[in-house]
Amino acid sequence: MLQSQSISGKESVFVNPGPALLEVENLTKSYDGRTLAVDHLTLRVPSGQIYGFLGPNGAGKTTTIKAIVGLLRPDSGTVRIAGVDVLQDVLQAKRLIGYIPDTPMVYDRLTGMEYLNFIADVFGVPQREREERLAVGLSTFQLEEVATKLISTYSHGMKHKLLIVAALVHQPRMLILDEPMGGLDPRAWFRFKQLLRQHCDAGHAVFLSTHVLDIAERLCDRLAIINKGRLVAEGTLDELRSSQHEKSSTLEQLFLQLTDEGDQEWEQNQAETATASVSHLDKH
Amino acid sequence: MAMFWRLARLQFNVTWGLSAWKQSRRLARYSLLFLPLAFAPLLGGIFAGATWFFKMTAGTTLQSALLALLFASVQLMALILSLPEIISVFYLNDDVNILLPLPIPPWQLVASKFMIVWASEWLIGFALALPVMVAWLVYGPIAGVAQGIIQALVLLLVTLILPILPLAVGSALALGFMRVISPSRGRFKEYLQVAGGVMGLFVGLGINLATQQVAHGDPQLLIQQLTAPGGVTHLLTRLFPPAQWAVWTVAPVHQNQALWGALLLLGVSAIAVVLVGLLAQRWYLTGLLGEKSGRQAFSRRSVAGGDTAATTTPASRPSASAVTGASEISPGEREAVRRLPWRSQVRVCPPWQALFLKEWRMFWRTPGFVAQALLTSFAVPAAFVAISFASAGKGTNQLRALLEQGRALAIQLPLVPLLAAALGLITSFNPMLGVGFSREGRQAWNGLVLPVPPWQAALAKVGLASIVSLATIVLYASVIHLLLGQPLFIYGWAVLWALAIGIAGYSVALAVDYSMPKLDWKNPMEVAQNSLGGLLASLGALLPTVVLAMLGIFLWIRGGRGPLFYGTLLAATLVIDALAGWILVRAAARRAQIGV
Repeated sequence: MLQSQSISGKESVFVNPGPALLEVENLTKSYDGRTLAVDHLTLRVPSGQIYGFLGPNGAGKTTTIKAIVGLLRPDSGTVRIAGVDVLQDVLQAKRLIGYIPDTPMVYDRLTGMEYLNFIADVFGVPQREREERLAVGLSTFQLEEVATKLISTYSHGMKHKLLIVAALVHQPRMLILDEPMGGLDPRAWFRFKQLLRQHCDAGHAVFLSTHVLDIAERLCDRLAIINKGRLVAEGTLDELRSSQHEKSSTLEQLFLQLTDEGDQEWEQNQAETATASVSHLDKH
Repeated sequence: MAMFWRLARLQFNVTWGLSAWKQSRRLARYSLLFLPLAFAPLLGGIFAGATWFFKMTAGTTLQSALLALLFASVQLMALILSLPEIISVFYLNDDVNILLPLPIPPWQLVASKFMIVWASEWLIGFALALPVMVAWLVYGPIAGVAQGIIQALVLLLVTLILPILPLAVGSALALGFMRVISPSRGRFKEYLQVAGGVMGLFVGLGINLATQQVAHGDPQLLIQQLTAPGGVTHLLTRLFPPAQWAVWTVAPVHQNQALWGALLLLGVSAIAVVLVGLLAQRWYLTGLLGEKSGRQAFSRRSVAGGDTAATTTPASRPSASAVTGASEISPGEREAVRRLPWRSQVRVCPPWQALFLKEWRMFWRTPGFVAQALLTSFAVPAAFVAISFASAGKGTNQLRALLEQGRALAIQLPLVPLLAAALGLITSFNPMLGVGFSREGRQAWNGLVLPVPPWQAALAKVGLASIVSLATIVLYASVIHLLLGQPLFIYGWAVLWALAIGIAGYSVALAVDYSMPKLDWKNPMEVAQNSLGGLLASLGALLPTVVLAMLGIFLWIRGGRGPLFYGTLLAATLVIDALAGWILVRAAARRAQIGV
């Protein structure tokens, strides 16, 4: 299956999906035995693709990601990274993952360099590769000058950048990002998008959770939308449009349709209010 | 002023959680009523003591001496106890970040926070003073003093005003202190708490030494001084004039004295509060933001080297795709990497060593952890020894006599296991070492997503605890050697044995901590506080020592001596170590699978 994707709206690449790097089957997770956060979720992320995982707040995105990276034990279902079952061989699965959470809580009593060294040590990255990757990562995200300072002195965005460099230091097969754009400035975000594409070009894959639909539409090769823990749609943007019989719909419109709970009126009111506010501002 | 009152109401609501209390379940809402019941025995004891005193001293001036003592105590307590609270409420509360951007004058912010501290201190002081005041109202009034409801109201008002002056002094000190030290720095809070802990220790030491110097440590002379007419009152009121004014107001010899007392108490307190307001207007923002000018600070609050800071780029930067493995790095780029300034810091080490280094660095760079772990281990014995040797006359003599008895006893007892148990108990009683997982707080996910066997992560934590506790054990063993004598090899064996006990203790504590972590703390000091897991971990740390001590006592009572006695205890230690290690690995593995 071939599909056209754009990065930053400028360039197009054709991606030929490879074997599945991430397979989630019938994943179910409930909290306190009552709140069903993820309900029999099944996903398949092929290599060479950026996979967008969308859903409203509380849809179960972070729970799914935590189950994938081994931070949460699901009630049932399986998660496989490059064929390695996360529940059966969690250490081997973790070796294949690079994870960037939504909030950059890093060991703030270490310096940036100590943190990166620690991560590289745990993943067994040799000296030469380590130096080269860190040089590129630190330079790409303009962290060279602060690399030897304590992380506690970093801003939110700098911590996020450090996490990106750390997540890539061992060249993971599967990069898992939970709301990755938080705190990144436009330049860093632009560079990060380039890195994600290059990462996929190298035969790896990216699993990206977001609710910024514009980013998902521009960046992702394939999309999955969940609502209340259930998968409501999956495929390329064109496939999603076809499934909804909306040939020219934006992802935003599709998303609203798919996650609609009968609150169109509210959305309409919000849109009208926003339009009114903009025209009011224009007048002044 | 409307803004001020609104702010004050908000402070009370937020600090005391009034809205949350109203929203809580009915049972939880009324559970506060049980609080006085919990203190009832203490308050009843104070009432009984005060009643006894008033009956015994009926018709003497000693009754007003007790009042002077009470008022002076309330003020002293307010001054000493409130200082950390003032710093915390004024500068370290989270609401500062919310209130600071609002158009509120600094003096109003400080005044509203001052009211919170005042109310808290009054409640504590009043609760402790209430039994004495009731006893005084019932049994104490001397002839000629107005009695009844008026007197009770005057007493209530006096207790309300009493904390103001020490709190104003404390606020002025805090404002000055914070102006010098910047709270905007990340680790400032912890340094402050370390400083507070050390200051508290030395204040305690000073008070202890000072009280031992009173009457040269001679109890007879002390009683003489106490019973002399006006002796205690004179001493106390000379040290604390406001206590004298309060005594004049409540128990005046003539009506004019009551008026003067009230005027002085109110007037001086009011002037002090105004002065604090003026200081706050000038110093609060500069102290809070750690800059010479609060106004300038607003524009310079961003962290140095921000997101878009210019960076020095190597002449030949490697291609970005190298980091993702999409392309190989060129020889020219490799040469550029070799010249990078931070390259010397990139060192490869095995995962177990990396884990330990991470634990080591994070521990020593968090003053809160270090203070909690080491203050109890080093400063407390040091202070104890100082008090024992520096106190006047009798203390030293008594200590020497005790030591002589101890040396004589030591020869007859199995000293190595006894010392090992004592040292093991001391080293296990270290709240910050047993909560190695909770210490990571919200950063704990970092370790859990890494491909690290849980036993390695746990071993790194136990390793750190063992090294820190070894220093404690050696220090205590040295002090005991100085005091008790005996051959050095005994202490060597005891240190090793205690370390084995300590390792078992920390393993149990860490297992509890892995099972019941407290990861949502904002301040490192909270790790072992207000947490059931932290409490249970502390108790768990003591468990191996207690079990071994009981086994030792049992064997000794049953006539166990010689190799069998020592062999059984050693074997038991090893079994406990193995068992504790197994429990820890299970708990760590479980946590690694469950996550946070």
